[in-house]
Amino acid sequence: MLESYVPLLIFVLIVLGLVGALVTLSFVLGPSRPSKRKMAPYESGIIPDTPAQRRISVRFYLTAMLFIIFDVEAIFFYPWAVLLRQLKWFGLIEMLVFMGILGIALAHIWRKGGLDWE
Amino acid sequence: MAIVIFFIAAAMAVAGGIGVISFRQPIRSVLSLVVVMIALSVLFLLLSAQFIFVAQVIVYAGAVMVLFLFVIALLGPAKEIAKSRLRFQASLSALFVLALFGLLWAMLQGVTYRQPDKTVDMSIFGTVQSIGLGLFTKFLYPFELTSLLLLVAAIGAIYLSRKEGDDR
Amino acid sequence: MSGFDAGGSQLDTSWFLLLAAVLFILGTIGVLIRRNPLVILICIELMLNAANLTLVAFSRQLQNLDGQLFALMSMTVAAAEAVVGLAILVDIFRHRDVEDIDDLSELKG
Repeated sequence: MLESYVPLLIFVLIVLGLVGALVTLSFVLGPSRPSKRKMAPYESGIIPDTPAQRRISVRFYLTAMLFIIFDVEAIFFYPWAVLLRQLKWFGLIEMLVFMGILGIALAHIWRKGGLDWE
Repeated sequence: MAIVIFFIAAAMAVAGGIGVISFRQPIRSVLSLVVVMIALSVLFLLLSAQFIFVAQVIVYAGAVMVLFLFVIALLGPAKEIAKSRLRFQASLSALFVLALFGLLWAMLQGVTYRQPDKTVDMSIFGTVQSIGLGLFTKFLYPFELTSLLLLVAAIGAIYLSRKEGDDR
Repeated sequence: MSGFDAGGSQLDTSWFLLLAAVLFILGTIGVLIRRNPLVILICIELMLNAANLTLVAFSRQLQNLDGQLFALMSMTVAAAEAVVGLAILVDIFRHRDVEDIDDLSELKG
């Protein structure tokens, strides 16, 4: 069973190696001669005295929240899709009930404007 | 080989767990938790839980952690004050945690595990098919209740994130 | 025998349980000593993950799939908990900055 995951392990190792190599090489090979002038936020401007980080819009957060709910729903679709032929109508009705309840959730979100981007 | 993988993943999980509780900035705690999740998914694979492995990566390391990152981006980088208002909180916590760990450790000493009632074909244990068969036959009721839980979560989330003075 | 075969080598169930205990304890420490409500939620996720690990480990030891199904359900609950918990937190943070979880103790009466 574990042998079938060896390609995944190789893939992960290649990704980590590639990313690590790129970051390390650009750090080692790239010239870095920082000076006080270079490190200033603006070359010839007023130095800002408030933090540069601003809060992002609450809309992104709402979208991520709704994504989780339907992501968890999607997880339950995988075993159902694999077993659809075996479970026949019984499985289909089960899944229709499941989707019906989550359809109510989607309808509610839609009506309350959760899907609008202002 | 499996032993080596176990110890690498276990070391990653413990290191990530220490990172979660010791970093001052919340964003580093979240990224440490991602390390813990990935390490645990590898352990699930060692335990022949192939579908749980995929679900862990998609739901936890994917979705839940993205939500945490968005919330941190939303709230801004708030550093926390180290001072506690309860004077004895740190020492009481240490005492409680030591007692809890001692209890768990004592429970693991000389433990004998119940052997499997019937032998199962391990080559299909924990695959998508076997999980689905359990989910759609034996655990049909909990499965349908799951959708109700998600419905409640969706309604709660929409209600809590409505705008000020928006009574729709 | 307290272990099982995984890819040709013996693994001991106790190792998984000990690791889960350590992770759970780390989560408990985080909940007890951290002040930021967001980090406390993260630590609760850590504790839930540790509990999931014990469920799956016992599922493998007893060769019974119920534990894995239970772990799947607990993942769903954790996702719902994260959604609602963070929604409450964002709602509070929109009205004021909370640096300490003790600032949220008005409801204690």
